[in-house]
Amino acid sequence: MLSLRERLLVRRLKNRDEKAFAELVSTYQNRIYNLVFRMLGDGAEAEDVAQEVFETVFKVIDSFRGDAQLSTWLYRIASNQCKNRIKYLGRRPKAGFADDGENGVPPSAVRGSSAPSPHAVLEGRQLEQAIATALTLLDDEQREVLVLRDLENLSYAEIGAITELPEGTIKSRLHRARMAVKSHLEAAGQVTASGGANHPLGDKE
Amino acid sequence: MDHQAAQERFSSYRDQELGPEETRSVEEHLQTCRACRRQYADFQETVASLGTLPPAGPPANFAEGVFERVRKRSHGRLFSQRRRGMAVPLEWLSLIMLVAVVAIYLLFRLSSPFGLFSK
Repeated sequence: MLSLRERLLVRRLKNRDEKAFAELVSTYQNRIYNLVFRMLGDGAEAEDVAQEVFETVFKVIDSFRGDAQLSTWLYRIASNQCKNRIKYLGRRPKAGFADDGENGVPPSAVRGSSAPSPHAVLEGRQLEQAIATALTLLDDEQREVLVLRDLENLSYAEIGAITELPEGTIKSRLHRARMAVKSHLEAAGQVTASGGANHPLGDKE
Repeated sequence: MDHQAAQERFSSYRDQELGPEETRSVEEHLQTCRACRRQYADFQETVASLGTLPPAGPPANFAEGVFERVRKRSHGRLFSQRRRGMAVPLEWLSLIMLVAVVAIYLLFRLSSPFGLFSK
């Protein structure tokens, strides 16, 4: 099941090879961070949890038996730690743009450059913002499958291996999650394929 | 297939996860129902827009942070250093064992004429 490259990496990890560990972090940090960030919606929490994920890998690599892909195993650890953190924090995730310093242009500033047409499809950061908000409104279980499927582009089989959920459950959660995002985007005037958006976001400003 | 049944299958239909019969039923419904066709177009657009969300990247010093945590966790010892720390005494230990075995053998041989076997 594991590729030769993965098997070698795992062996080196089990031997506590520092270079192997650096390789693991650089290979998977983007995917793990993105998953965690989208699950938690907060940059500082995401950094902390994502680092904790790799720290955990270092601690428990000996228990990795190779019956799943390394990435699946990492996603599983990440997903569980996100859920634990959410439980610990006891609150819904934030919208995800709060601490976005480097390109943190407020949506209203983007919109100012061109007046939205009546059927304006939300573009760029406005759409991003609307989706990020929609993600925070999902319940944790729905958000998990949606992020894995539509943001991380994983297959149903991979999602099943990560979440240990039956396929039927994954499908129904995914469906409800996508429908909820659709409703949110429609309410925000973002999905306009059918001309249904009468109130593009920001019209009131 | 009614509107609700069709709409409940949007997600699996979009991902081509329905069997041939259900796929056909959904398609037939969409061909004849303008409202559901519109809903499905919006649904597809929603899923597509999720895919365009740019991935959030970790901060530049992310890996450094990970290594720092591991170092702190393992009380300053890093990775294979722990193994290396074990490897050297083990080599010494085997040498000491070897010397000890030879010494005991020689001692036994030397002492035996006056000891056990002399009687």
